[in-house]
Amino acid sequence: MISHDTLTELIAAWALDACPPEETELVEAHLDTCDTCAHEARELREAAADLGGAHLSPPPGSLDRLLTAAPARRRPATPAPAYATSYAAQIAALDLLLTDLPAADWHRTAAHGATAHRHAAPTHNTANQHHPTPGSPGEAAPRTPDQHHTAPGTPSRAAPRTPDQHHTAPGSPSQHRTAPGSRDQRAAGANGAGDRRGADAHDELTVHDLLAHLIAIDGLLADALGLPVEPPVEPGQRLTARTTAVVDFERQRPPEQTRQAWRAQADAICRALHEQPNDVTVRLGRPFSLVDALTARAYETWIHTEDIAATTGRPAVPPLPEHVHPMAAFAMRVLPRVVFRRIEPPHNRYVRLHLTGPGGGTWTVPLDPATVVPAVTKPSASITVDVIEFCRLAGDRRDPAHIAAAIEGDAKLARDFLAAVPAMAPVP
Amino acid sequence: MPKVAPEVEVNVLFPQSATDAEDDDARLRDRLVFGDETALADLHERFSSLVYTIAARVTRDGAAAEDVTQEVFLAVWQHPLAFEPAKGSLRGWLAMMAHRRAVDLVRKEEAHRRRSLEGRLFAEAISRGDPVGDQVSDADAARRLNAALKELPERLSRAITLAYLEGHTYREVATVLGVPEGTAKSQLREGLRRLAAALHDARDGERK
Repeated sequence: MISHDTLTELIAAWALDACPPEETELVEAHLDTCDTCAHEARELREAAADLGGAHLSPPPGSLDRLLTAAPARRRPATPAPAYATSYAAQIAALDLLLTDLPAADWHRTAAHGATAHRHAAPTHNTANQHHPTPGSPGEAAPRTPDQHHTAPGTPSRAAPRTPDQHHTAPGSPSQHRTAPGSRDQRAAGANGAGDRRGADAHDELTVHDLLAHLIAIDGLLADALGLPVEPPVEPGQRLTARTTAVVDFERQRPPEQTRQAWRAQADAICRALHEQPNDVTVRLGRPFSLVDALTARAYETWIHTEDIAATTGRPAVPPLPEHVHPMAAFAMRVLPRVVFRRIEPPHNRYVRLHLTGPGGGTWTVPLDPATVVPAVTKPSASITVDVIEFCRLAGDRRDPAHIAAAIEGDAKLARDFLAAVPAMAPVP
Repeated sequence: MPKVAPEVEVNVLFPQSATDAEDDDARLRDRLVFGDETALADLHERFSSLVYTIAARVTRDGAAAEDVTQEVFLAVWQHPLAFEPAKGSLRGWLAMMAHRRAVDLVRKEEAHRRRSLEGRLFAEAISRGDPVGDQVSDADAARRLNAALKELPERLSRAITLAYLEGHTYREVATVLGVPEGTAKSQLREGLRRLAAALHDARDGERK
């Protein structure tokens, strides 16, 4: 065991890249655990960066060479109309996450869908009995949304990985929720290797399956745009059945091929949008405008990106402010329909939401979808919550009982409202 | 779709007003994560000179320095999440990447030269391909370019020059200087700490 003092003496040499490789590793491992040394290392690194002295200019054409070479290294986000840049960006980020994913990671459980077997209710009975149907609302029985009235796509619930990540409140519907994006995600990912305990095998969706699920729902959009889709979309096909069909289809081929097919379809969608009139209607369970459909797809792609990041222990970043804002706005438009049947009358009330952080904003949401919010409204309750956290809540990836929210006004209404929000997930 | 009143929508766009350097770095990194090619162009605009300069000082070869520059930016494009804003600035991280690659190149070249020429030409100019120019054709000139380094006592600046600009490990520095390894390590530490302090003073001065 090398002593702290010995390591401290090496930090300057490390900052100058003057340590032999084995000592470089020792120092870097130490910096991850020692704040004092990490602070010194940072200062010395900054000083070393100046040692080049007066700046020289790279030869002419350096930038052009870079931009020419970059796409071969990693495909950039596909150019898309403004309303679809969020979608194109989430696709590029998920593609980055999936690049060089080890084979074992493709088979990790990334989410839990419900099987048709478990959900034999009439709305779900079209799915193959032997395969997961991630389009269905999973285990959130108390909050099972009516699929005719909720948003499309239906991301399944995030998979539990390590027992210590569970909220263990008995009977809580949230006990299987992981915390995507949490600070300890990397460590948890390492611990969660191959953890498949406690789950019905039919319920498990691997990373590979989840990508197939994304292909399935993106495929409805592609189909609406007149693009060829494989396997073909059957008229009137439910989202669950569609997902099951595509999961079955994709399981026949290697994950890498699935990744390429997913990316190719998403790129084709982005390209097709340049020629589309905006008034195309997309049926994702229910009809959506093209703009909403693209936002919905961006939203679901992000939520599943976090699912995959959590289970593989790879890092992911939340959407950029300008990309999360339309997702939050979309959630606000869908929410009245969702909360209407979950909150007791009177419904002539409003809840004001202050979503904080970059990309946030303030919205006043009626409890009755038929209501047009008047220009001047006094909300019965106000809720202040971080915009990213709110979007995760609406994606059914946070527990409404534990989310950090400041409440003013009618506290019961605010709590009922928050409790109803995850029912819009399956979000798009 | 029900109508929802879009009241005041704050923070809709980029947080341009509230930015300390770490937020700027994180934002640029995140744009790269989301596959934004204009972010790569921005990155190049901000840091290509820094990266190229370090590579040029170490390799003393313009073509090699440009190769290093390209590789550094392509690596960031390929793996933007390798940069962790909490661990230091983007500038410091890019400088490190540039330096490591340049040093690797020089060490490989040197090993190659030793093997193929049995060291006979070792003392000759290392420069190959396009020379960067007189200003960096030898280590003394490079050293003169950094005023802060020049302020250091000779024993410290010599150790740092050997390590950083000539790509030697602290063990090699000890051999070249004929001092114990422990002394080489502490000279590097003292020298670099003084440079860090000078940098601090200079930045504080800029703020005032």
